[in-house]
Amino acid sequence: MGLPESLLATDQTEAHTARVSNVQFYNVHDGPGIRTVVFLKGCPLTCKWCSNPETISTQQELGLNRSLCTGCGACLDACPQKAISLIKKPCGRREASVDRGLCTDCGDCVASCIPKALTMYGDPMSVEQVFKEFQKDKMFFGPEGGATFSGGEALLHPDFVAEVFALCKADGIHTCLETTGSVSRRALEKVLPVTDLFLFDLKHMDSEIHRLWTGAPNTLIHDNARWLASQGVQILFRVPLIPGFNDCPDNVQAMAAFVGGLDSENIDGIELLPYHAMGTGKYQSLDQDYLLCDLKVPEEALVEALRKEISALGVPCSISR
Amino acid sequence: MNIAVKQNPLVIEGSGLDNELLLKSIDNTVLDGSLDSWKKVQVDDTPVIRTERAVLAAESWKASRGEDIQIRRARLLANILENLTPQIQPWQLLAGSESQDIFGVHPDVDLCTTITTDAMTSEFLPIGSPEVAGIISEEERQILLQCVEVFRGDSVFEHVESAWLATFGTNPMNWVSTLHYMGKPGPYVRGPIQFEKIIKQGLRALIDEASAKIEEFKASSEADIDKLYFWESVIIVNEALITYAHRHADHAEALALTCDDEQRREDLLAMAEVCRHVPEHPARSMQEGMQTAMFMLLAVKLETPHLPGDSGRMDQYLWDLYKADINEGRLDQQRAVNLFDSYLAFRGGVTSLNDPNFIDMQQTVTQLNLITLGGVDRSGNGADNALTYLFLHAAGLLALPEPHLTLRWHRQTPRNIMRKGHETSVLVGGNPQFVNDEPVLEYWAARGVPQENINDQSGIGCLPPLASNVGYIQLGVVSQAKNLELILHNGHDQLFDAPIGLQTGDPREFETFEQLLEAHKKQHEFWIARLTRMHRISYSIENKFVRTPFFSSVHEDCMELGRDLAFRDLPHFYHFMNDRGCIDAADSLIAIKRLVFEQKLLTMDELITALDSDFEGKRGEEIRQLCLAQDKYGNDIDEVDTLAGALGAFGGAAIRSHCMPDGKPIETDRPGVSWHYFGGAVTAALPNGRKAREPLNDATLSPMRGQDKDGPTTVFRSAIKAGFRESLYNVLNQRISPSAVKSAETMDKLVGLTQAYMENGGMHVQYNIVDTATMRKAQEVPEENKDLVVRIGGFSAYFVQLTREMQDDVIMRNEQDV
Repeated sequence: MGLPESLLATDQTEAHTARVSNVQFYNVHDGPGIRTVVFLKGCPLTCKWCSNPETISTQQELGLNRSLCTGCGACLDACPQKAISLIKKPCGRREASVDRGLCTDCGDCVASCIPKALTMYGDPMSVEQVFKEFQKDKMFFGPEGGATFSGGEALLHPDFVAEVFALCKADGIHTCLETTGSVSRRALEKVLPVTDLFLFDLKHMDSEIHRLWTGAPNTLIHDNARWLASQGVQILFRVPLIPGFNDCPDNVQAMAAFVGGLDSENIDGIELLPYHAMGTGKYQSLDQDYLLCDLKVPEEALVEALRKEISALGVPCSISR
Repeated sequence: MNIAVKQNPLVIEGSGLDNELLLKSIDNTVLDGSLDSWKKVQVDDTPVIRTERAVLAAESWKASRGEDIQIRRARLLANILENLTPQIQPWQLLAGSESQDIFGVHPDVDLCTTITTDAMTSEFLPIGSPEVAGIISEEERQILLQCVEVFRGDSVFEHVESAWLATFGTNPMNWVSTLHYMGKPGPYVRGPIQFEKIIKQGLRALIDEASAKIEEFKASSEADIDKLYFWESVIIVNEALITYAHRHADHAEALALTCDDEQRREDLLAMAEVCRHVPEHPARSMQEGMQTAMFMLLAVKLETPHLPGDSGRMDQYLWDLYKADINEGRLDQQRAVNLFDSYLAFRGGVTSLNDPNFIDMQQTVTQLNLITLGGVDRSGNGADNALTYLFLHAAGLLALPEPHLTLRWHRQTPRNIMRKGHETSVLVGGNPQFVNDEPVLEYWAARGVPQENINDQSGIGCLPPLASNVGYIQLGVVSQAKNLELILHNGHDQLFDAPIGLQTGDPREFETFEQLLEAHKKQHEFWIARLTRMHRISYSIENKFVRTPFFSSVHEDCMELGRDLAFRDLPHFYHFMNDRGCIDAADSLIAIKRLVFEQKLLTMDELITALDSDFEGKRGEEIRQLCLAQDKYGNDIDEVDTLAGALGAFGGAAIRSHCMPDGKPIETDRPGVSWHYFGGAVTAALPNGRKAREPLNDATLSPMRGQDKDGPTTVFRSAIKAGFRESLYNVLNQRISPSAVKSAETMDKLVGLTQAYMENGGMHVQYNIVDTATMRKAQEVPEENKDLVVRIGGFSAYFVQLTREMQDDVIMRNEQDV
């Protein structure tokens, strides 16, 4: 299957907790209506364009938002590894700097940082805690909105997701799951009964190109897509449109053919997500290099042309804006 | 409160247009060419200060010496209406303008002598922010100063000031950092205007009503002569207003004679016919209805130039006329849009002279005129109609910061109206604001105002929605934020170095948080009592020196009772105090509670020392960061949200414990204006981490700027929890990133958000949908961004006309990205 066994296994944390990198309220892009999106940590893929690099590792990670750092130096003493030092910027301002070779992501420094420039991505949260986060905005969800799990790959924690969604369903909250599809069948089976809508990512129809850009082939993803469609559940396929990777007509047509060929009446079609560089700041906060810094945002006209092409092949297609 | 309302479809019965076709025909209309050119010219226009009204007022005042004040004030307005040069500007489809200028200013020499003198003798002629000053020739400056002398000794402002001085031994201007009474005491009485009655019946009927009242009075045993004078004054001013309209008819005909453009000549002749007929007689078309409203507003502005002129519920008053026009083929949608834009442009041009001491307060050249749209009819049925939609569309085309628009929200507001409202809000920098009918209804019902008057409520400038028969005055502002500064210094004002407050003890000796809270409450009560006393004094003086016969003649109850609104004692007259800074106070108190009393990270002395140095010095920045890091309102944190709510409730109860001489309690409201900027300018550093002189939290339910971390739904949850239901009106500004409303789908989600907020008890929300980059660019290249409109607090303004500090304030309010 091409994935390390460890990732195909079940939960890495205990079933009742998962590492959450972010809770986002009033999300209007990931599913219908007004949604609360909970991002879980850990991802089987390593897409080069990833806009949420803090969700790739399953472990908690230290983030440093430099624009909030006041250079007070309180974190220096708090770090048991002595991994933090103060550097002087050309403008004369002092700023904390983390030696990632020494840092163990233990998080001891976070409490010492008053302006909250140091943060820990991936605090463990329980099923009940996450459910409560979803409940908070219930009054704003309306008939369409609701709860969305995203990541990373939320299905690295299928039991956790299933438990939270079961509580949501019982409370009348619409549930939506965003997945790379690069997950075990068991994980899909687990969440199927409590998930109203799957946002299923498609990246490239050529398995080798897929592997080069995401670190994994697409065979498992496509198998899972076919199986999920056969179960009759509602699915919206989402394509992150990355210039030079998957925006060529051949690939786009192949994607439309794949989605159009699925045997289900509950396929909502394809949503195109034009590439954006919003995640760049997060790479900086993790002291990681962003590989696609020269990549340009695709032009609206091009995206619209691709949308028309897909629609012309009989697959409903929209653009996420 | 059970509100049974029927949905009112947006169709025009008899027009044969279905809903979709109708809205499409409105959506397809464009901005009229001459208005487009006017719009481009007006952003560059400088306000001009004019003397014509002042000269006519002074002339009348000299001639009427010895007569009763009611009659004198009526003659003053009549002299202006009978002699002021009629104006029809080239872009106008409706006749009438206060002056020949785009921004013409008539200083109210008769009402505020000292302000006019101050303004005329200062270098800078304050119209709005320091960025916008007026111009005047030296000769006219001298004329104005001479006119002022005619009113010297007769102006209400002078008498109130001397009475305060006699009572308190000091000029209350010295307390201005804590109290703020809007700069000028005087005829600040406000209330809805009976446009509908005059549009439907005409002024002749009103004059006949007054004559009948006079006959009735003469035949009765009644001895209250004020009544007789009142009805006489009604006849004087309204006959003069009819003359004023006829003079515009003559003027339009004269202009038509020399007009080469055939279309324009037709327009002018039509205008002449309209002005011969209205406002004297009932309006026969939408144009006549609008023209009636325009003349009424002109009369209000010429009577009291410093007061805004509100248009009430134009989409309701004109609905029947519009329907008849459309069905009989007299009017198409484009013409209707042109007429309304012409009306908006007229309202957008009116402004007044400010107190040079209070320039920072207003920050806008405009007058906060308001038009209320949508809502329910007098019986409670949904009354949103095609004209509501058309007015929103027309406002979006013109995109002026003024007049301001309110869209009333009720359970049955049609989705397409809400959608249009939000689309317009993106185009016109936060216009319209969305105001929930339900809290307004509950508030007035609890005060015994009849249901049908409440249903017919409309907004007043940046102030609260008023039931149609309500008279209103705002005493001024009390600041809970300034209180914090005072209690931390035992009543001593830090910025003005004066012992102005109540001595509540040395805070270093407070052992518990409760002691601190108690001191805050005592200090607040002290200022509320002081402002109440000031107001009661001015109340006893003002009606001796000022009356508003025209305004009163078109305010419900006045005609029936024969009483000028200036007496402020009608059955439904209410006195309001604006209780502000609750959020700053709550955030500050929580910070002290955590840092000093609970975690003991700082001593009270360390904290106060840091505040006194404005967070400079050795530990200044460290302590400021500690202060900023404490829980803040707006993040759905129970303790701080409920404390904000409790401070609000306390303020409301403390205010309500005071009564006016007629036994009516003083009420609380919290309109926005840009008071947070003014209030901030006079307040020292606070324990919430705000530095001295920086703006306070904007509006009244907005979080501290930059401190709401989790998006609009979280802010709304906090706001609902804080409640503030003791106050008639609370304002919440919410910045939303343009990327969150880029598509039709996401725009619908914003509509859903507003809807859900209202359904769950939200009172008011207005959006600033401008991104930081756009505003930064406007700061860099203002000349290319003159038409950028942003929301300040209950009103909108051109971004580049704001002071730099105010611009930064708008930018710093959190942009809720998605």
